[in-house]
Amino acid sequence: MKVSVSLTPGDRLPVLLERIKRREKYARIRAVLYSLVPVALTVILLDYANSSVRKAQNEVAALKTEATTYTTQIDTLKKNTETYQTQSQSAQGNAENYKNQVTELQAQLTETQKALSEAVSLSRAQRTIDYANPKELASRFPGSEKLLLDILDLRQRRLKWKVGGQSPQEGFDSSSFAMYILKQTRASGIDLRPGESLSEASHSLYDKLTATTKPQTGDLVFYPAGYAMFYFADPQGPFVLGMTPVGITALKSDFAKPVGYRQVQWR
Amino acid sequence: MDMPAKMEFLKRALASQQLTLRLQTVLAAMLFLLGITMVILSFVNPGLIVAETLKTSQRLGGTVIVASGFIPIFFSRRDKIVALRSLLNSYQHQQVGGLSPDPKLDEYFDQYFAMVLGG
Repeated sequence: MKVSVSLTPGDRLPVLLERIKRREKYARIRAVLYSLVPVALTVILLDYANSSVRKAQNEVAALKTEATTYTTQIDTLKKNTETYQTQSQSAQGNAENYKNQVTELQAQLTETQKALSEAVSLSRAQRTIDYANPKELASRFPGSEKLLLDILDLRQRRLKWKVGGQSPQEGFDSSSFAMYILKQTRASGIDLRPGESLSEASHSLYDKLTATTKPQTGDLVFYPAGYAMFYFADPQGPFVLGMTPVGITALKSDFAKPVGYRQVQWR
Repeated sequence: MDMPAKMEFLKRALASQQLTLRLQTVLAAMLFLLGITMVILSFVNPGLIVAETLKTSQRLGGTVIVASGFIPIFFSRRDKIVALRSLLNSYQHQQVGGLSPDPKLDEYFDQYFAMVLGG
């Protein structure tokens, strides 16, 4: 039988065990230290992630603030746009008004030019009468003295020509002047309807008065372009007196072909 | 040297080594959980607002951490523990069974002794 002989001395076992324990202790320490490296790596990564997230949060906050600013600016711009749109519409309205005014002024200018050209032609047909002595002149036309004196009085006041004029202060056109004189001298058959203006009434004057073929002093002679002149006749020949674009003046009765004669009856 | 003393020695040596192995296992498990959590979190979107470059490094780092937990275990020489356990079991079997001492066992024991002293 083979006897087992151990080469290991028994007194060395504690030393051996101590060595084993020491080795294992170092192994455990190493394991812990090795584990610390990945843990540290994790901590670094998490810290980096955390700082990135914080940075992103700060950026988001800054962007939000910026967005708020832009929103405010957009609101302001919208309000400005609305204001400018309103102003633009108002300006367009004004432009329309100015356009209308210009059109109106052009029409007035055309009318004035027409009146001026008429005035030039009228000046050629003027009849000379003695305006300096109205009373002496009036005495030559018995029965129409007041009419003549009223007309000459207004002439001295230098009444202006104005189309559609309503009063001496404003001025008159030919027919409205005739209407005004007839009203002042209380001629019959020319009463105004309620609410009717002098200018409106003057347009129907031709129809209101009685027609005649042989005019007498104080009757009305109607010419083209709306002229309504008072008829007078003296030894030098017939003439008409009334408002023209050059003012109140006497013209030869044949300065234009009459449209018709109308008899005026005085009250 | 008597058999009980050897068995006692083997028990203590095994206990010490097993303690180390348990610690390594626990650390490996901890690192595995840590690493795998990092990897999973890198895929969560938009739960975590992290830059794309950071996500890539987070996945890489997580994988490294998972792997690093197993490295100490690979180098822990578990075969030694298994050998010692077998030797101890053999001695116990011999003692309990009342068998005659096996010179092979003492030889193995001496080899281990020499290895420890030499190593």
